[in-house]
Amino acid sequence: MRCKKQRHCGVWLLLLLVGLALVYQNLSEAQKRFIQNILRQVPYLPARYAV
Amino acid sequence: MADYDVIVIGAGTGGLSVGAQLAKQGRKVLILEQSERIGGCCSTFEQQGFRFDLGASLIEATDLIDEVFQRLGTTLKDEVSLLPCDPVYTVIMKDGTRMKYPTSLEASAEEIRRLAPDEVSNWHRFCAAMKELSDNALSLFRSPMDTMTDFVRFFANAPGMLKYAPLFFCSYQDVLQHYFNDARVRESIAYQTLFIGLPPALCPGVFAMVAYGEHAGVYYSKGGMIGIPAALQRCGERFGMEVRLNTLVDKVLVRNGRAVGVKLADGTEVTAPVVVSDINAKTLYLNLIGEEHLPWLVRVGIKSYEYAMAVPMLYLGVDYTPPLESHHTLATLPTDRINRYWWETYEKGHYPTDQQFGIISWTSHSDPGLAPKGQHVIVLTLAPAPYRRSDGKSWDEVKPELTEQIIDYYSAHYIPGLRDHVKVATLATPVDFERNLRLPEGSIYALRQDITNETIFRPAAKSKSIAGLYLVGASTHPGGGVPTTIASGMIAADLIAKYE
Repeated sequence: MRCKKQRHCGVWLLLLLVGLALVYQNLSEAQKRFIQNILRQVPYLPARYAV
Repeated sequence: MADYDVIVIGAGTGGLSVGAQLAKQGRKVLILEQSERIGGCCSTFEQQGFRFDLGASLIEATDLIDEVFQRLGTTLKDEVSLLPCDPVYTVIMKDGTRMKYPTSLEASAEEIRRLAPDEVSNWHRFCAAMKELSDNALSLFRSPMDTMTDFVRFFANAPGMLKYAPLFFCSYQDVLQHYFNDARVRESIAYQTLFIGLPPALCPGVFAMVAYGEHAGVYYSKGGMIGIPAALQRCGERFGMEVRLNTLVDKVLVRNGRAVGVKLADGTEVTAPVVVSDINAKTLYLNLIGEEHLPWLVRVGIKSYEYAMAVPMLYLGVDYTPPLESHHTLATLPTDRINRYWWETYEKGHYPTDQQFGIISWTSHSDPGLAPKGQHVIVLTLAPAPYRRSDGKSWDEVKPELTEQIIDYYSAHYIPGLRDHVKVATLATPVDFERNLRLPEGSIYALRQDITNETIFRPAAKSKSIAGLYLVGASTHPGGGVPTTIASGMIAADLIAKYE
């Protein structure tokens, strides 16, 4: 039962990732750069919040 | 017994704003400025009879500035002689198209009609949305944004902002593409992203309100932009505020996790229970305070900030009336070309001699008193420049040749006759800004201003790691710019009144 639930979650997660990848692929170069710029800095946000 | 109640490091507009307000609160305030003049990037210097503005060459959002003067018992109008600049600017596009943006939204719509008749309704739609956004965002400039609580409180008090929350997560370029179909109309209002310090593709969409906000009126301070910080200084001195020039602060004295004063470059110690910094936050925390006083997470955070762009400026005194049409002329490029410049030229350390975009400030058009009779002042704000050049040459080395090349380019493309009429030409490079104003890497807006560096992610106005330490200026919320740094003084003064 638990294994089945985990498999469902995995499938949904995979679909979400594929969906996001498809959306990302269709963005313009400028939009991709905007997202890349944010993602690049996301790991620093907790530390920046502390300053 | 401390020497002063408050020490402010730096006499920029943020430092003078907070200093004057704290003096009005009855505190004994000392402002220490390393250079020979006040104002930071909002300052004016004289050379061979010409008065040049060092950085800022006009102000907008005067209501915000006026609020500070009202707190000081006066008004902006009573303290500074403001000259309206209308049109807000003239645009010269890459394809040679020229258009003006008058202050009146209707008159601007007529200019757009001339260029692209179908875009007039889109202009009105854009302005209506940006007006609603600006009205809702007003309190953002007056409220501290140090904690999640501040952030939630802001949206709770301005629920209309929720509608515009997606604009934080898309670019300025996306907003323009959403409203306008014509590439030239987009080009004509894309330059404003460089006022934020980013190209159109990286600048958060929420800053599109700047393009609307300018139409509330932009002004020049008669006699030079130093008139604004000078007025703040004058008001502060009425309440006993003291300003010392040519005084470099070497260290912030920290005892038991609390700022207790400063050590000057000559070794003198001056004590105060409250220290306010109007310098770059990275310089403050890493050099003046020192890593040994900071928790590890703060060290990681402060080191993670990237400096904002540097912009060279060329100050020109000319002996003719330049064939320009307004106080500000924007020499623009299509949005994609500005983006490409950013990624393929600026970020790779190149600096072209053919200056294809920039701002031409003809300040003596608004105030003829800035130049000897019959002569004029032109200040060129050039394209963003890398601090470290890829060709290995130093900025000092290339300066004389670059000055001539820029004059030639502007003479050929934007200001006919310029080459034959230059009497004074002084170029300020990123290194000069670092040397003279102590702006690290010449960064005019201190730290980058994308959403990962804004509001609760920008260094807090009330330091989270050092008690008694407060920040004003471009490094903290609401960020770089004359009205915003003056507003940061309001936020810090309120916090100090509450906690100290």
